[in-house]
Amino acid sequence: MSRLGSFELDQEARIFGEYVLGVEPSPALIERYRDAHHHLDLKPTSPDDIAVLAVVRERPWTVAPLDAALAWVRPRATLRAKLITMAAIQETTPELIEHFDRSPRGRVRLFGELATIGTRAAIDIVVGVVLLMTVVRRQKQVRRR
Amino acid sequence: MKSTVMKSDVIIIGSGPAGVNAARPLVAAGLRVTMLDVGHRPDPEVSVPEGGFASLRRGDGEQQRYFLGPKFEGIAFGHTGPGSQLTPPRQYLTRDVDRLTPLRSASFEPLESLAAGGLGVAWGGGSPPFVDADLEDFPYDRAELQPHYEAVARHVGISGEGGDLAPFFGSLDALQPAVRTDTHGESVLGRYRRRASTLNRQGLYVGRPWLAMLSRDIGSRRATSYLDMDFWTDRRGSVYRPWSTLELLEREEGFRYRDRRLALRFDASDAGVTVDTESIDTGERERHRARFLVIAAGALGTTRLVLRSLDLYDHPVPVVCNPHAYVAMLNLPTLGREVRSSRHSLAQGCFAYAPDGPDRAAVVGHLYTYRSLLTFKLIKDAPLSIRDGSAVFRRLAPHLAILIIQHADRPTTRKRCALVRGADGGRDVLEVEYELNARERRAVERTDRAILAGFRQLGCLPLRAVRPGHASSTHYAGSLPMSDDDRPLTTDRWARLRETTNVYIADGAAFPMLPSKGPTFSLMAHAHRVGRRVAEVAGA
Repeated sequence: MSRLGSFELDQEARIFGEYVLGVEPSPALIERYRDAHHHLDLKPTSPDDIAVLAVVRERPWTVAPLDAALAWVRPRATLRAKLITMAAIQETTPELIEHFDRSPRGRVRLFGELATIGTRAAIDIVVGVVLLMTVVRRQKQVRRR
Repeated sequence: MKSTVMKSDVIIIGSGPAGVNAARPLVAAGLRVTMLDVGHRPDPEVSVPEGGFASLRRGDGEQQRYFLGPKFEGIAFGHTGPGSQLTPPRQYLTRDVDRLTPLRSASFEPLESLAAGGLGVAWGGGSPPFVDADLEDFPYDRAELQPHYEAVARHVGISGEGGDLAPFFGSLDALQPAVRTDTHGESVLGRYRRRASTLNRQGLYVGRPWLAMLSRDIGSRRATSYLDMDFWTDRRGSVYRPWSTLELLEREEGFRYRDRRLALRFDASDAGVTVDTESIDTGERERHRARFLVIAAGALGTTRLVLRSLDLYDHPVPVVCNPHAYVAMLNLPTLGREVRSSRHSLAQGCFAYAPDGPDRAAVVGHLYTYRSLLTFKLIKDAPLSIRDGSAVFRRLAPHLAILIIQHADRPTTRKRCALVRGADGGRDVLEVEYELNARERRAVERTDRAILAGFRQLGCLPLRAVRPGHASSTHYAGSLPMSDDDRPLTTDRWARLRETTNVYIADGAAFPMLPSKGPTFSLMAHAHRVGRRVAEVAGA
């Protein structure tokens, strides 16, 4: 169970909801995200996790690259667990079904979209690895002090 | 110890596919049968409303209750292992297992159940019967098992067709017509028809699966209506679940179901059998008496019970499971095409790989469509950010197929289990060591490669193979094998435990090995055979 206050959770829900699907989460969805934290173990497990979460709350643009880097470096990181939780809640929200139940599109368009996602993913990974190293290094320096 | 009056002719332990199908012929023969079981029931909080997968997702604002679970238990972050496929409405089947039936192993992670219906609650319905080539190590052949397959198929409802898989399945008079296949199945079967002779030369045969899913009504159970909710609910009873037999048995005068009881040990003599149980609620002990005992507690549960009852602690016995893998594949010919939402959720295709010809034992597996399981479950294992993983799978999930390959398994010295006495009066622990030897590993890998090469020719591009670990097939067997040799801790050709005159093993523990086929239909036929035999010996 998370010990985060409801302000931080609401803030996370807004950042993550918008990040995963590109849609601002409704108050009901934020409420569900908060509720999930009462049942699931989503507490950061390491100082690195705590630092990563602090950075993404402070600078929401860092979610994408950090998430991409963690997918390779530490796929079970708390940030990713929280994002999976958000993705699960979104997928089971009828108002968002259009995003998940898309009508089929032609192959050319499908491959074009996949190529765009792939390019974006590659850039995110490169930026994310540098960012992650910076966050971890800074976190260690702070702890040493 | 509270002692019950001897009222039964037969006690059956366990209500899974084997237990209930052993009970049917006994009750039909007029014998008084008591079934002892823990018997957990579904959580009413996770019940699923009427409707199809697509329409519920569009319209039901309460869907998180059953798709994710009231405590979000459907969201998993760990590795894909045994039980990962259980949806929240089915997760009750593992309740109390760790507490009541502990198991220790570094390499063997089984799924056990104390639910009413046992593991049959979440069975995928695959029902390829064993043929003579599969039964070489068994003391009976297909002809001897055939009447029991027929009896079980009439009751359970098995649908399918022969086609190119007929040599691997044999025939069945009671077989219902095959259920309709979905867009994936049609695509793969269509391409197979055009390339059959080439693929057959390579040893690959493809056809429609035999499933414990109704294409015609049986009693109050209805033929599938293609709502695509079979992983979530059994609302219409289209897919066979053992508790439906249990409900029928409970209406019979000669049958008593005593749940909330864990069988601890039995004591057998020529005069009869006693079984000691413990209430899982109060810890109260009871003693039950009967002339015969049929054990169907699941192979591992049965092993615990027999070893404890015979006071054989630290005594290793064999154990086998089907080594298996899931392979996520992209069905390329379906890309960009419309995918029908009216479908059932179980296997859409079946294959047999028999490089030495169709008269030899084949590796048999099934093709599923990743459709009615939600896409977020796929994301965590992809090397992509959650956003990009979600974006990719939202587009590709309708075109994802999952191939499940399972291999035959025979006992070796590296596949053993033993019961260890519980420390400080705690529960006994079943310790399992399980490892494939180098030759077995090579054979598994070589076969998987050949099968995937065949599926590439059918337009399916393998993306990732997941080996969820030993025991994840949820098929366990071999600890008290049927044998014509008179050896300790074996069972005779009727599955009678050799140390006794009146204790029979109706589940997989009595199988000497596991062929490369989902064993549940065969387990039910075996159990039915045991039930008939006990009825005969009892003079009914």
